[in-house]
Amino acid sequence: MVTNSEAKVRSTHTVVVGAGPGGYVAAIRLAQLGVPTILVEKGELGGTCLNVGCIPSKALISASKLVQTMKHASAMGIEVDGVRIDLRKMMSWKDTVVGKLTGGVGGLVNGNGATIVRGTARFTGPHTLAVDGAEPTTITFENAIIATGSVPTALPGFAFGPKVLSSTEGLAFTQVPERLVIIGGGYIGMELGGVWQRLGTAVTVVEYMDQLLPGFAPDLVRPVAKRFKDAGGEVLLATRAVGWEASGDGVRVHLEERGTGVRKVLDADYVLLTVGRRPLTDGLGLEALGVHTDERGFIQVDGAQRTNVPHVYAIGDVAGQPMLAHKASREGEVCAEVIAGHPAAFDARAIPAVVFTDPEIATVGLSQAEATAEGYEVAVGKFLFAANGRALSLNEPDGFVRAIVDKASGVLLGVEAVGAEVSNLIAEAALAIEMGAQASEVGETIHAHPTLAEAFMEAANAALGKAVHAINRR
Amino acid sequence: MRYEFKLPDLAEGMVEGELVGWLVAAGDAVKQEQPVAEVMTDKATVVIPSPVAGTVLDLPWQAGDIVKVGQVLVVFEAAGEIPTQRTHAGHVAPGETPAVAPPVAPPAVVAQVTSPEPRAEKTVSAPSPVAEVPRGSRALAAPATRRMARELGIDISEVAGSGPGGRVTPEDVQRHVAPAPAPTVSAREGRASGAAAPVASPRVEEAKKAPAWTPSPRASAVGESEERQKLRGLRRAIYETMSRSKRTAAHFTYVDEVDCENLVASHAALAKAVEPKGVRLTYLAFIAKACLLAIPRFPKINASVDDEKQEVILKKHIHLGIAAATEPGLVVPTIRHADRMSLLDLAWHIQDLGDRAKTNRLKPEELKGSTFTITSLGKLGGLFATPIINHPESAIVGVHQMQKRAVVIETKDGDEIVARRRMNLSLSFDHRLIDGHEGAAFAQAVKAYLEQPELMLLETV
Repeated sequence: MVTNSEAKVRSTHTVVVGAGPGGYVAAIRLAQLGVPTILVEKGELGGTCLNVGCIPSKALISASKLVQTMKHASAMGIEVDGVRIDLRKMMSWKDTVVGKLTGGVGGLVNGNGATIVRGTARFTGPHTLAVDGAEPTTITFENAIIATGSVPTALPGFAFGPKVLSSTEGLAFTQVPERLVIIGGGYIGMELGGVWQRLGTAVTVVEYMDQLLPGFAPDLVRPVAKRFKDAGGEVLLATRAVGWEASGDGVRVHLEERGTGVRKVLDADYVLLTVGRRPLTDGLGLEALGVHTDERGFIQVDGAQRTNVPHVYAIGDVAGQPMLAHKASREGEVCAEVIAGHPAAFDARAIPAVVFTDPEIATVGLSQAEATAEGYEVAVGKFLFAANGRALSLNEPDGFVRAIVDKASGVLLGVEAVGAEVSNLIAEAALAIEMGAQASEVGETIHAHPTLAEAFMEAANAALGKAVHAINRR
Repeated sequence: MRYEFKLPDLAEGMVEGELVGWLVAAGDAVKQEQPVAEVMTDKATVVIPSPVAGTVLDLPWQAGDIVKVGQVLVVFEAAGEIPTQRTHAGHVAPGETPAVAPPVAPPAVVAQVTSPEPRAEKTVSAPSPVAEVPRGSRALAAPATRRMARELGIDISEVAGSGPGGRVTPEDVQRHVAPAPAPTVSAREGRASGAAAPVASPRVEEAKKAPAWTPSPRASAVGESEERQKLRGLRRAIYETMSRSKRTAAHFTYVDEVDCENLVASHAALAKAVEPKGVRLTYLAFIAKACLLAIPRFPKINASVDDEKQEVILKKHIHLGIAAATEPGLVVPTIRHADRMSLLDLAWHIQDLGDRAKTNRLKPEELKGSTFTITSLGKLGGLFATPIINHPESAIVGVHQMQKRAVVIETKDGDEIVARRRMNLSLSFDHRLIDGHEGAAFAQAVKAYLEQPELMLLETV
């Protein structure tokens, strides 16, 4: 007889832990392929991406960019007298956007025939999972997909709290802060820093490395850094954050210059800590499964997303870099197909990366440095938006598109871009690389005029010494 | 680059093997996959292919030596890439042939089974329990082409691209598949599919039924593939002869076991005697002689049916067919008037025809006219077979490998089990002509000669 103290037992073929862009996509695809599937989520559907990551940040980025556009509209003959920001309304609009998408996820998962179980999952054996939720449930399964994602990393001396905030709180201020210190000048810090700067905050970014957005080519970062500084932002490079203390209503942050050891203090309302994210497997019971993690906490997988335990798979942030939603989703599809017996493999040639700074940065494939390091002799074509009709007519003349081409074969190896809307341009470049396109094939594809996409065509032609709207340097 | 090739784990649980012999010598240039050694395990004699291309530097063992798994078998000077060697294979379920080997697999090994367990050629390679799929490969091919390669079980990085910049097109993938007929999963295919190996999980339904055992996903990793070949030349001839035989003759097969102890002794004595004459006296010659001596007492064994006239043709001459496996297929060279030949002559002809069959130098007239046929399965001898009569003949004798078997013999102190060399004969007859007891009686006559070879002297002209 089942008593209330006993957990309900459910049995399924595949259990997916975590309903982020990896997990929910995997669950939907599994259900589509006829695999009985349970999706377990302790928080909101959609994971970091939909709730406290990509989507809310992009909503705020768009809203804050509109503010900035209005402020700079006088060049186009528009005089705006005073812009008033109702932050509460902006936040509630952002929440509406998030709500629409998370609700959509629930509908898609259920509509495709997978089951959602709410609660915190913990593996208790190789084929059993305990879910601690409103209705305690034990799930037995044949296959498991771990899609638990990642969480923001703290820094020694900076435990998260009411004054030391993670990106989650950085998306939910109820009042625009006057002064914000952002520790970590990577893409999260720069995106959020941009939001609050445009909404009126004095932002200082502290970065340990020698440039903002480490990992991107310096010339890609330059327009971003310039606009940030021109708008009053302060950048402290090669600087270590050593600690903080409460100071009045705000914080006093102690910094130290790397190398010289010169100390410095900064006062601000809050510290926003964006130094990175770590894979989340705490309390998941991996030891009961026998699944190993590497020294950085990632679960290692093969191209079929399979862990060291053959019936257990891992996808998304928890399965390794890059921590990108679109990588997670593709991995989710691959692993669902593998479980359903299809010959799928994660074999993407290139994963695009986009930074929603102002202007935007987008890359896909090999950078010039990477291509050279891999032994390619490269031809590089760069086309400036300053020579692109649409960019000028958008009043967005900054930035460029660069095509990196293998000289021997003419194959497009990578594309890097900085400028307006390059987040959307990069899809074409990703397709070209994925298809193994030649630079000439991009150059000989007719691109509509006047569009920003013409810059990609011109960059490809420039690599071949054939750009029309630029002087080809050979 | 010096490469020490260690004896791989050729079968589950294998710890050592006996070196039967080298197929190369120190200083030889070898190609990758070229056979270098024969190693006998408790289960099989295995031909070990070279894992690399290069030169043989050292062969540190002699025939008869016992080599343990993991000991250096051959030292090569490798010309190209050196594989990472694993000496321990993963678990292979009995009877299961892994379809997908890891990307860098120890050399696949073709095992010719000579043990009591009759099995056909089996491909063994060391699998990993979970097929490895490398990430981030940069194959220059569109996603659909890559998927196609995965479905066909091909490593797309091994496909030569004909497209611009070396891009692999769907046609390139097709071409890559076509040359290799793939009725079964070969070692070649297995290795090839490693890199892009589509690792498929067991089908949902199956997994539901048997939760305790997850069947290997590797087989589903290999797509289906076939090739059509025209039936031409020898294959067409075999096709016609065999189907006509099956269509007309009413086959029945009778198997008996022959004790070979006396035969071995006679053979040993005579083989030595004929050696100076340059003739290799084989057991097959003795078996041929025994049949030839028995046939006159059973004329219907050396007969054929004229279906049209509804007549039996009893042949007074015996042209002995000796079935021989050659590269292009089965041939049956004929020793004309074999019944008039001495054992020595028979041995010479068998050797001569065999040699020339292998090198494809038989004359057309030597390939027809047989009236009775012997087929020897040699090392692949097995226990029993149901030989198909060489149309239009009426009988055929299949010879199996001689092996030591435990035999119960009666002594005055009671029954004893002794090891004796025994050999099975599988004889097929056309029941339209030959009744069961006649076939059996012929078999017994042949058996009697072989068990007491000196009896043959009595009747030899």
